[in-house]
Amino acid sequence: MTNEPHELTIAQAGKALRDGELTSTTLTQHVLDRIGTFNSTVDAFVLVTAERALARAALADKELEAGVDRGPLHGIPYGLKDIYATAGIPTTCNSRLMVDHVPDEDAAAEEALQRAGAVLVGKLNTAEFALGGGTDLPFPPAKNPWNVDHFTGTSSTGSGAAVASGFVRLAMGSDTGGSIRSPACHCGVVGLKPTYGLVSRRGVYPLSYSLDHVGPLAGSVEDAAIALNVVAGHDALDPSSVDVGNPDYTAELGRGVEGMRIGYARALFSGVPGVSPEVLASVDAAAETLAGLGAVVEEVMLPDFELFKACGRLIMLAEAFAVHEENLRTRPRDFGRYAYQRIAPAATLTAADLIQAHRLRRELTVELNTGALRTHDALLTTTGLTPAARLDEFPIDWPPPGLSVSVQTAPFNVTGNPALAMPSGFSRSGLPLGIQLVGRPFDEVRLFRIAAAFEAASGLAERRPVLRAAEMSA
Amino acid sequence: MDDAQKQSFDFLMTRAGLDVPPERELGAFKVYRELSHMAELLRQPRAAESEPAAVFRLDTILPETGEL
Repeated sequence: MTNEPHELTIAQAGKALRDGELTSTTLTQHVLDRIGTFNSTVDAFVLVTAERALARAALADKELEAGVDRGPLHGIPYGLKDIYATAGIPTTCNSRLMVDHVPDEDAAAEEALQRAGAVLVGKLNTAEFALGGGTDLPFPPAKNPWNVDHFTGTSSTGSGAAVASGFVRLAMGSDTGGSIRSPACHCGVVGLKPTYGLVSRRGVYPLSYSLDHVGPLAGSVEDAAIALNVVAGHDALDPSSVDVGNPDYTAELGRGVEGMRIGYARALFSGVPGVSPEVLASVDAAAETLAGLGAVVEEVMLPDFELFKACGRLIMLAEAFAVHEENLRTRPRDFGRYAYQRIAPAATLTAADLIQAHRLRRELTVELNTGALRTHDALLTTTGLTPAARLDEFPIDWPPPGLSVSVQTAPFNVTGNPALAMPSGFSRSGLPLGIQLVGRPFDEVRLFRIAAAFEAASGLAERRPVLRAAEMSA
Repeated sequence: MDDAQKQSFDFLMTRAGLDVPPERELGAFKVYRELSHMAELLRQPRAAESEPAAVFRLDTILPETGEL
């Protein structure tokens, strides 16, 4: 074992645990030390559950010694976005409205991770209620580990920062309009928004019932596939959960893309005013790489992005308003400015507005899946339009300027298709750039296969930032 | 700030029972304008079968693909 423990992939760490070269206690203590040294630099974790984590790690070690093996995540540290309910552990949604909230039950995904023997090391930073942001919240914003003057992408801010910082190989996030894929892109890690209904949303604080997806941010495509094997599955207590059996999401890793047909949705982002030439060049190069690996890559046209955006935004804010209606009336100043300013105006929407959005949603979903995704195995496009913005570009009041929070991700929340963000290169300023791969519904196996082929060809999977411990104030 | 739009915003927020803190008003009004524009975008001819489902489920709205 030549790598530092935090550099091991989940599979490598699992092998070392079973070969007796590593214990979960050693691995967990190592990442806790690393978090202790560097978390104040990036503000990825809002709560570290060290004592509990070490107890779980000791249990994981004892079980392995006794021949009890719970699978690939047994003894592996991970973090949860602080909107996942954790029994007996504060779950704040980074909101003054929730700072004292301690749930009685775990979220379904957390239940699955615990059953799998994984070791929770803490709760991760988030934009308020997975939507807001700004600097007037209980916890300061997470910083981009590649350059702490820059944004992580939103809203699973701590999840992206934690994986990129080498704190954990797996951090669970949520994605309503891009909140897994945006931080994955800007922090240079892998993020999967699974198909709607594949992973239970139960116990994850809702932003928008019909657009929320929960999924992993991870250090590699394989790490993400291993995580999905654990958290995917039917949950009768989630009304949107779909029973599609239990495929092995790692099954086709390493099989390459020879002969696969990949539609390049270049027009989805190439004409956006202000799109970075570096982003364009990086995604074009990714298309060439996939073609070089034997895939048939050809440009495809999708419905107008502005229609997807309008449809998704209207449904998201209408549903968010329904969630927060009472507090918006009675405790407006307990919301951060961004969350209030984004959600409250949904009070002006009409019932007809929402119904029109649902009607359009159905048409867009059918059009995508009977059009470009019928003739192609998957789609390639960008995630972000620019490298991560500087944090000091964000004003006190919503909205931020220009393209600072713009990502081309919302279409696949509207349609529910699986979408994966992953690194494709770096800007001249040293910030990550990333692609987005989109699959057919419940076809994550093939999506991971394509992503793994690209990851191997790009050689970017293990590139990580060098962190410097924050100076202590006098 | 467009006066007519601002009056509509004030009326609709008040009708909804929301007392918008003055220091948060400008940002909220900008979002209102954006949402109003988006709501207009949604109003185009739709096929008869394009009706809302009570719960959005791919396996119930895409049966014809046979690929779920």
